[in-house]
Amino acid sequence: MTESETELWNLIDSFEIDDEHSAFPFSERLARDNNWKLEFSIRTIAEYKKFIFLICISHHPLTPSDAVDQAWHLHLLYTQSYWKEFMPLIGREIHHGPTKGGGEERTKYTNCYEMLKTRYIEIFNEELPKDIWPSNKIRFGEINFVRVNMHRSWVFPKKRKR
Amino acid sequence: MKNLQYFTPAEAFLILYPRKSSRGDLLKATCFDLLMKGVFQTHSENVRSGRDRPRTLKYIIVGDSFKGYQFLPHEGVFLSPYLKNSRIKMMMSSLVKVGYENSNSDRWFKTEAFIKQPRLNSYFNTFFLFQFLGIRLLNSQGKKMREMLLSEIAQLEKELHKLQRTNKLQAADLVSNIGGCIILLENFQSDVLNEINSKLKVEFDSLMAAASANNSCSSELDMAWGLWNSFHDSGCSSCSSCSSCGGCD
Repeated sequence: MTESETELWNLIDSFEIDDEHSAFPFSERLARDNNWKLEFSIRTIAEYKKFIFLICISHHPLTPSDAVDQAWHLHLLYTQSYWKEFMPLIGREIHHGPTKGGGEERTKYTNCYEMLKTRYIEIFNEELPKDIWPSNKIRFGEINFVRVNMHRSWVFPKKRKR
Repeated sequence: MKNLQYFTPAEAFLILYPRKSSRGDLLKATCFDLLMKGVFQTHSENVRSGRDRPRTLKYIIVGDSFKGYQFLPHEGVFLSPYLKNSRIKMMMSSLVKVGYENSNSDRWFKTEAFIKQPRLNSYFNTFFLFQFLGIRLLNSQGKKMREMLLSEIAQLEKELHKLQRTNKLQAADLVSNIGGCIILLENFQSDVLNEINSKLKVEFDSLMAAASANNSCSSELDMAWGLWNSFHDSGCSSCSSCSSCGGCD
C-alpha cells in the first residue's frame, strides 16, 4: 500500500457502522436478515470495508461476494450512514450497479470478481476467507435467493451435494 | 493455590457451584479471564464519520498472548471470530453477544464445553440420565476438589486482606498469579468485570425477553434470571425489551 492508500484504509477501517447506542445495530440486523450468526455478520462487515477500499484504489469495477453484497445493500438502506457519513469520509461517491442480466453481464461480473480476489491478495497480503469469498462457481452458481416470511413458512435445507 | 492457578475461573465456578452456575456466569468469567491473560485487550479508537466529530469507542482486540494460545473449548466461543481474522475488532457488547450465541444453549455449553472435557470430567457424575436431564452433580473426587478450592479461596482472601495494608506490591503479585480466578473472591470489584457484567446482563435480558415471547415458559425464565442476579450482581438497570423488529427498523 502506498502512503495515501494506507491513510485511506485507516479512514475506512475506523468507520463504525454499528451505532453503539442502538438496541438493534447494523451488524445484528445484517445477521437477522440473512439468518447468519452474529460472528459471521461482523466478519462480513470487516470484509465489506476491505471491498470498499479496493474499489477506491482500483481503476476498474470490482464485484463483491454475495455476503459482502448483502452488507453493502443494507448499508445503502442506512442512507444517512452511507451517503452523509461514510462517503464524505472517504471523499467519493460509490454507487451500486446491479446486473442488467444476460450472458455478457455474467462474464463481466465473473471477471470483476476474479480481479477483486487478485487485488485483495496483492493489497492485503492474505488469503480471502473462503466462507465469505467463495469460489466463482458458488458465487455465480448459487444465486437463487428469495425473501421468506418465517411466520408462515418452514425452511428445510436441501441435502448437500458431495 | 495450585488449583486456582490451574483452573480457569469458569471451571472453578462450575466446581464450586455446579447447580447454581448459569451460562451467563460462565461466559462472564471466561471473558474476564481472557482479558486478564492478555489473550484479549481493550483498545480505544477515535471513530470517524463524515459529519460528526470523532468519538472514542472501546474495542476488544487480540492481545499479546493471543498468538499460539492453546484455548479451551469454553474459551472458543469468544475466540472464534478472532481465530478466523485476528485483526477483527469488536465492541464489548458485540463480543458478549457473539459469545452468548456461540455457546448455543445452557445445557450444551455446560456439558460439552466443560463437563465432558478431560480437565473436568473426573469431577462430575457422568451418569447418562443426569446428563440427559441436565443435572450436574459432583462425584466424590469433585467434592474433594470443591473443598480444596474453597480452602484456597479462604486462604487467599485472608492473605490479600493482610497484604493490602502491609505490602501492596506483594498483593498485586498474588493477584496476577491467579489471574481471572480473582473474580471468585467475594469482595472483588473491578471496572472491567462490571462492564462485562452489565453488557452480559443486558444481552441475557434481551434474549430472555425474546425467548419468553416465543416460549411463554415464564417460570423457567424467571428462575434463570434469579440465578443470574445471584452472581455478583452489578446492580445495573435492565434493558428495554426484545431486539426483534416488526418491519423496517
